[in-house]
Amino acid sequence: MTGSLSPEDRSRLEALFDRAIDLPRSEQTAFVERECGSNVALADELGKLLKGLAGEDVVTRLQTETSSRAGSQIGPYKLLERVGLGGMGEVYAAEQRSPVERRVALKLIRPGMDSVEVVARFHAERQALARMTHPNVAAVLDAGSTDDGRPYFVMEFVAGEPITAYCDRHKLSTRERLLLFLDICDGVEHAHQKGVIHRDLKPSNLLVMQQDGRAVPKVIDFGVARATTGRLADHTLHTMVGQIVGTLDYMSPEQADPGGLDVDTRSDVYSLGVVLYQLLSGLLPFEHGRNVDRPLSEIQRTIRETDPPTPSTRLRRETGTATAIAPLHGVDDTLLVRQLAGDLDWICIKALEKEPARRYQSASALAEDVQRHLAYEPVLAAPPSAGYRVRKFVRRNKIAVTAGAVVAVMLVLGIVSMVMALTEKTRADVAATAETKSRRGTEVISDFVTALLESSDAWNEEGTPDLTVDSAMDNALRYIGDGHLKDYPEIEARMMNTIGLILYNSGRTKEAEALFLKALATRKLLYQGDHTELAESLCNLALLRASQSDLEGAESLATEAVEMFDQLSPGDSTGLSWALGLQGSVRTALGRPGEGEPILLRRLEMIKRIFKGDHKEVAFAMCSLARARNALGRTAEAREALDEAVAMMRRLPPPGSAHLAHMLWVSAGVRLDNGDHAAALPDLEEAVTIGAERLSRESPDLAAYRDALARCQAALGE
Amino acid sequence: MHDPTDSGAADQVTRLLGAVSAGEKAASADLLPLVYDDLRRLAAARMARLAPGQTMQATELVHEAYMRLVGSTDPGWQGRAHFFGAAARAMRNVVADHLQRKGSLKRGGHFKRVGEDTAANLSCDGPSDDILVVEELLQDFEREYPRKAEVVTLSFFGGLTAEEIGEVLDLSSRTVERDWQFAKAWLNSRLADPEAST
Repeated sequence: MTGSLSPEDRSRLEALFDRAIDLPRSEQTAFVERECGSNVALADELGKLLKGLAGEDVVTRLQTETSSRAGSQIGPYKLLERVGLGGMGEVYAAEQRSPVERRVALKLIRPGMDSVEVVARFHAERQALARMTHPNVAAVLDAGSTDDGRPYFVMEFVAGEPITAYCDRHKLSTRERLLLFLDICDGVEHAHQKGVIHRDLKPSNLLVMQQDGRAVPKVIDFGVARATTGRLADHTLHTMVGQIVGTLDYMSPEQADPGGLDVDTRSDVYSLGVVLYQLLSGLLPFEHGRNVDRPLSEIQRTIRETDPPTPSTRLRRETGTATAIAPLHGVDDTLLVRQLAGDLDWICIKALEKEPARRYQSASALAEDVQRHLAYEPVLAAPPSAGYRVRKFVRRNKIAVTAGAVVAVMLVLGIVSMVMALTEKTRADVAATAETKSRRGTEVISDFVTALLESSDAWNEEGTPDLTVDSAMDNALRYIGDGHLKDYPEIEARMMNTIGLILYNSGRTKEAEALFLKALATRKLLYQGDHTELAESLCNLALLRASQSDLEGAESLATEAVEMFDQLSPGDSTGLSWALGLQGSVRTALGRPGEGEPILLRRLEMIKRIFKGDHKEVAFAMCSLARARNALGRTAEAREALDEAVAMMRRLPPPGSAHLAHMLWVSAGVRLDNGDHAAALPDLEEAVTIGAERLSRESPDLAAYRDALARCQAALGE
Repeated sequence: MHDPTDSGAADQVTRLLGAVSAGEKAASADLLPLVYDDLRRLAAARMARLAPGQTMQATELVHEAYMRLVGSTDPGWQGRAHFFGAAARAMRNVVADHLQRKGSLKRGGHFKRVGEDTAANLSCDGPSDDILVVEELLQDFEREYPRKAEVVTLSFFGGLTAEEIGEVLDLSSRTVERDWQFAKAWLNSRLADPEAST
């Protein structure tokens, strides 16, 4: 028998044990020696306990190992073997004999659940569940209860392993991990479209299987969480002792709120964010850990109130972890940190926002940003401070956005996302060259952006919007001219393009042209072949050529850009849609609306898929398609589409934007073409009013509005 | 077929669970004999139907007792917690009875490698040796740490959650978790190394 400790030693032992379990194992021995001193019995017992903690957990194994029901029959299902065991119950591979013969997974819920209620809840959702058919969603087939009243669920059998384990075992790169994650998002989005929320997304419900030599991830257990509890919080907290913490890891703040309302699809977006965080960094956003000292309510509060650090920050801070995890991604720790820093950091953080309204609004929106990252396009997610600064900058300077139909929006997107991207994204790109260089690169960028923002600050007081933007651009040009960026050609090219666009819009086409040409040459050298940034440069130049009335030149550049985008990624992208818009509009302007129309239609459809609902991109795409149709003599269709586009633009903030002015002008133009001057007049008056307020005095667009108004008034006066 | 459970017992269980849910913690103690009786009867009835060599799961048994005694009336999660708490204690009693008949295992060297044979089951001739070893160690543990041993009883033999155990023993979930960690470390250190307990 163990020599009994005195009651005092026993309570000391308990206290010391509680402290010791949070220490790294390597420090525990020293801790025992230090704290127990000459009390050999106490030291001996504490040492034994820590050994018991570190060694095989026989108790838990015995507790969870119940004799398998393999071989027995439940309804039409013959249980073959037990493939899983967890807090919720057991999972069996089973064989269904009728009405079809197939292999299924049968999940037997732990005893004590009210099976009548569980099955009833399942059936309430059954219609929706049955409508789900997606390669990345395991089909949910059936639910029922056993003779002794335990509920069970039957679903498609997925012979796979949790996505995190799969990625680590195969040492998948960050890119490969993201591609698997995109499939998961696709499956979840599909379920959401069918009205099914998962509520319990976590790696053990995201299995990767081999199918035709390809890794196919599947989301399992749709409908199960909903059915097994009215409110998820209830059930997830009521797992076996010692497992509580595990299930909280993927829970959204609204789920962790005991008094919280029912969750919506954005709760799943949060859980996907946790999974992404873990796939990329091997870490969870919050390590609730094995610290049993923390009361549950405190963990819940952490989930609700604490902002997690970015994945790259975590890896940078926890160097030991980084060295351990990086090899599982097939890279070293510094490279892994670089891959995550920037885009991927912010994508995770945006998915993990506390407020559902600040997260990605859907699984597909999250996926699209990941895709943007993969296509080297600027992502929507951004570090809060930079985003804030940029928004302030843009608001303060009322940047004049007056480009042609297609480009106006891209310009705003271009500026905003570029400035945001510059602060973080390029850090990662540049970092690929050398560590020290990357640090300097980052500093160079932030110096530049700061200079830009501050210079505009200074002029804000007295200057007109024109002066402010122009002066800021002068500053930027000088900055580049001084060679501050010459060691960073990628960044320099990006800067030149963006500044070029701003100059173009202020009517400084000559300077813009020089910048575009230089950026194009730099990128040709850099990329030596197809690249989205190269295609983007071609588009910029095409736009400029069009404005110089060199429509043939514009046409061939736009066509080259379209082909390049199509080559690079045949799917939807904002870049491709931009190029299509240019190509279609230019062909229409060249008097070939028959060629332009299908191109612009393709673009509109693409834009609608990318930006759902009301969006200025959609309005612009409708607008340019309408122009082509008008040219084809399909006037009624064109007018209807333009009215719709104007109405859409009016619904979108801010009121009285430059985009709206442009739209009104196009709409009026179609009416003028058809001799309907009276209808065109109010539109043109409004366009000129807005233009005078928003646009640079040199803006070619404003001149066009004024010209059209004058002609309209003259026609009406006669 | 004659129902081994008279409806009187079921009514009584329902009433007691109702009382427990209403805050009468004392009613919980009265549950034990009722549930215990029922479990034993169930076990006997079930064994008669089992083919030789087939085993019966403790959790199945408890669930069946629950369905019989409580049925579809919902006693609330507190009521359920107390029922499973009582069942866990009953289950431990059954195991303790077997241990007494068989004598000490850990000193007889029966314990080889836990888990080679699946555990936590009541076979025709009683609980597996593994479970008996746990019970024997738990009795040692109980003498020094009675409250922690209660946590183990409810978790190990009843599969209760931390909240449920907290409800039954009137402890915070946090204390339950800490007790469980400690008890597990204690038991594991002896299970992994049988010499440690001698």
